[in-house]
Amino acid sequence: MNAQAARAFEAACLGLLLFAAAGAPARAQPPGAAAPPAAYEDRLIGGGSLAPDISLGDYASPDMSGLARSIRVDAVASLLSQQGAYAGPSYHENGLVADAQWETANLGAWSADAAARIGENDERFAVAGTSRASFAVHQRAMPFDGGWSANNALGDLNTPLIELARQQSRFLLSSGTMLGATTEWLGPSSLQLVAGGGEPGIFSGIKVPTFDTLGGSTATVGAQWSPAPHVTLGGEYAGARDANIYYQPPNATTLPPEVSNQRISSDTALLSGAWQEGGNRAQLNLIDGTLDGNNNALGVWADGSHTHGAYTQTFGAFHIDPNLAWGNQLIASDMQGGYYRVGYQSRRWLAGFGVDEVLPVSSHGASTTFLNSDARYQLSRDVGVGGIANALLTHDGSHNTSWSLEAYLDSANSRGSGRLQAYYATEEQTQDILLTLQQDWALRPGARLATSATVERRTGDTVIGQPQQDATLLRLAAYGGADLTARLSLDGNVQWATAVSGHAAPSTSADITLNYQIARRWHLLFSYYENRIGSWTPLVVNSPLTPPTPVPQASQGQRGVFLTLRWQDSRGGHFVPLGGSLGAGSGRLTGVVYLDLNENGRYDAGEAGAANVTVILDGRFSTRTDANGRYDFPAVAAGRHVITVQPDNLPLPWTLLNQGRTEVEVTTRDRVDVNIGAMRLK
Amino acid sequence: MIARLLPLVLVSLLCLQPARSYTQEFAAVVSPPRFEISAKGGKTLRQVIEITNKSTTPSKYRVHTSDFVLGPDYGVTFHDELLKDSCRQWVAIERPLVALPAGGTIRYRFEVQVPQDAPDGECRFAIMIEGDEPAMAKAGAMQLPIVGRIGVIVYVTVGAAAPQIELFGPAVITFDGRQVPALRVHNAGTAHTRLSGFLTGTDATGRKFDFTPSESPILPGDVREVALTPSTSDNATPTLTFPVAVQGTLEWSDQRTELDEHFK
Repeated sequence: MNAQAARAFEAACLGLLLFAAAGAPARAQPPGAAAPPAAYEDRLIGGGSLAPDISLGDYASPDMSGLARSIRVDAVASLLSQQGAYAGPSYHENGLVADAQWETANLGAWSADAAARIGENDERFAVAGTSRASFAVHQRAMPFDGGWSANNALGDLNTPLIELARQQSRFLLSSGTMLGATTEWLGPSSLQLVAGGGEPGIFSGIKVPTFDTLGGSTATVGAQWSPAPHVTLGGEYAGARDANIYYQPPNATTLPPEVSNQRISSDTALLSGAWQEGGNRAQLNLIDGTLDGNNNALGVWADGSHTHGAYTQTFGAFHIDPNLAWGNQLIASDMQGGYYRVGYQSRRWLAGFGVDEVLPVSSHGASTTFLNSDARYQLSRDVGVGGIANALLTHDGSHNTSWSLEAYLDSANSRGSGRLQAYYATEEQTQDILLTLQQDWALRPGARLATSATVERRTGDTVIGQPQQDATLLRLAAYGGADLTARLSLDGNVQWATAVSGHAAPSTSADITLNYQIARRWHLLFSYYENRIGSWTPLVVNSPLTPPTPVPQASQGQRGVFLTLRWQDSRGGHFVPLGGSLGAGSGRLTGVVYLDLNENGRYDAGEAGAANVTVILDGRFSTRTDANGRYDFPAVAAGRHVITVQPDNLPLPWTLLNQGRTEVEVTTRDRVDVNIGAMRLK
Repeated sequence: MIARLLPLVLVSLLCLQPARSYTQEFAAVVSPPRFEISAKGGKTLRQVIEITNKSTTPSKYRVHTSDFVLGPDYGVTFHDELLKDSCRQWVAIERPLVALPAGGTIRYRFEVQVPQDAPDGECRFAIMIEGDEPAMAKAGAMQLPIVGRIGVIVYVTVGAAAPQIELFGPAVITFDGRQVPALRVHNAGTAHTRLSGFLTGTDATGRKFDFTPSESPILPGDVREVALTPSTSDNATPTLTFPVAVQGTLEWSDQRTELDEHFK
């Protein structure tokens, strides 16, 4: 049962239970009792003249036959434009986006995603590549005997990682994107095998995703398993050959050629081991590899966590040499240090503290210490207070320190809930103070509104050639929306900012989104956004000996319109094999109940089948034989099962010993024939 | 008693069966589960209930108002007839019968027209959504016609109506099979409320606990025993050893009081 169906059924049960608990007794009247009081007849709004406001549901379908399958197709048209002195030409992103999912009885669940651009691409936009399409086909959870299952994919994909590589609290190995194929096999003892390879690339596009390949190749293969309870060991290799790590559209000049044409080749291996029991976990990782023919680089890091009661502590240490990559992805390297974090949570308190010390392995770069802490305390049911403090200490000879403080008061009030927040941050040359008042307004169901007002004071040192930074700004913002009818909703955002003293660019931005259900399977989505920075005249310091000079700045902005026509449909139900769970592997169990004339225990030519006899699987599921005595269970969960036959409908004088009890082993995607012979009574 | 429990048992058995067997039955999802709104005399409030038909076939629902009574165990009894002091004459509904396609949702409207001279107080009623056709519930060889229904409770606070909670003192009750401390309370006010607050305490062994007051409604005139459920950071259902001392702040509506009680 899917989640939606489960919720529906819970609601149904709730309704039924309400009736059973409260409604039924009210109807039980003993004979001779007084007639129940007359029910009150409700008044109707406008005498019952209100037209019903009904939406038709998105995916709900009256067709539950067959296995679950769904499809969605979006036809997208858009226009994006820029305004101002350096504005580029208008840009269209039109195309089709489709995705489909379908379940199979024995081959797992499948999905396909595809997108295709229609019309010309404008290569001057960095977000637009030369590719005009993207696609991917995924097959998930294909069952096999012995507890195995497989996930496979083809198309524009992420490179696969073993689970140990994903469970990292401090360092992450990137999963790059590529045009290629991946496979993952899951087996007993938590065994996981992964492999994948292809040409690296990147996705681009806003509503119609396309995929551009970058040249070169990348490949990975890995495995992990649990040799003992609480212990997991694993390893993975990732390599790249002549792979470009940056993308730049043709004719674009965003990146210098030495960067945009930078290609790498790498070979890297990861070994990882983890122990986990109760609230304790420890993991040791070792990475070793070469990048562009450099000497071997080594990385090692260990992470631990301990949860006890309301406290959770995580800690670790690391040493990662320079020049390490994972496939075609450069990873954080040339660093060593350690970290410690502690968190506390109770009904009234939520608090945390962390310290992270990083030093370079090589002689290049700076050492940094990052401290952060936060705390929130619920004063009463409606009032909470909290604060956040961060500090970044850089030791590169100058001992720079950046830090910020934030304090807030949350309050539930008769109009909804609000927050008053103060924030202070300082860096090497600037200071920033913000005071913000936010309110989420309690409105009728289906309506939403949140507002905020911020006063910001910026101050900074005078820098030759740069505008004077001192300014006070006022920012107002609102988000609102409403379900105007059951089939039409409207949401919007608006922000406005201006300088009330000093010099700062005024800005406005707004967006609006409309969602209209045209018919059961048809939707129309419309969205519009506009961002604008108004013209302003900052004072630029040219010399400490002369007054600042006004330098007018022209206004600039961008806007976009998106129109999507969506068709979507869903049919069928989820597949659960007899005696198994959702998605379990299954086989077919079939055979004949026959009259064993020659009593040799085999179904021989000329022996008649027993029609209309009940065959029972595992004492729970039953079917009847057809006119030829054949029975059929098309999908039975893989494993051992017991078949019995109810002999009641056998023609006299035939009978079955021990109800024809037969034990049978069903294997995935296989057919098992079991013939059961009846004996003549003697 | 058996007559009262039989339908409950049968329906419970029904709900344990796979859903697909009963997808043709009552499967309405209603939102929100309750309304707590306020109004002044002479005002008309229009509210919307979303009713979704989650079944795979078109369904019809009967919608009407009911008065309700909360029993000592918080069991709800609905009354189609007008009870004394009922305010259902103030209420107008959109339509008595709703037909929804499979998967369809109706934004069902109802209004509360508070009379100009309505005294301060609380108007309470329920909007009932019932399956129009009985469903057949199977329990073994038996079949039982059952009409599913969902009640949406509506509280309308009129004028300056407000709860007034009086604490009578400590008690020890059995709640969800455990002995827990409880507070005897009386709502002497004119509107319902729910207790909340942050309470801490210590049992006879010296262990510390957080205590959470039951948030069930306390209607005007009600006398209730409000359970204080213990918990710790690593145990949501600890067992207490009495006597237990509890301190903290109890809150309801816009009022609060300090609590320092011993439960034996």
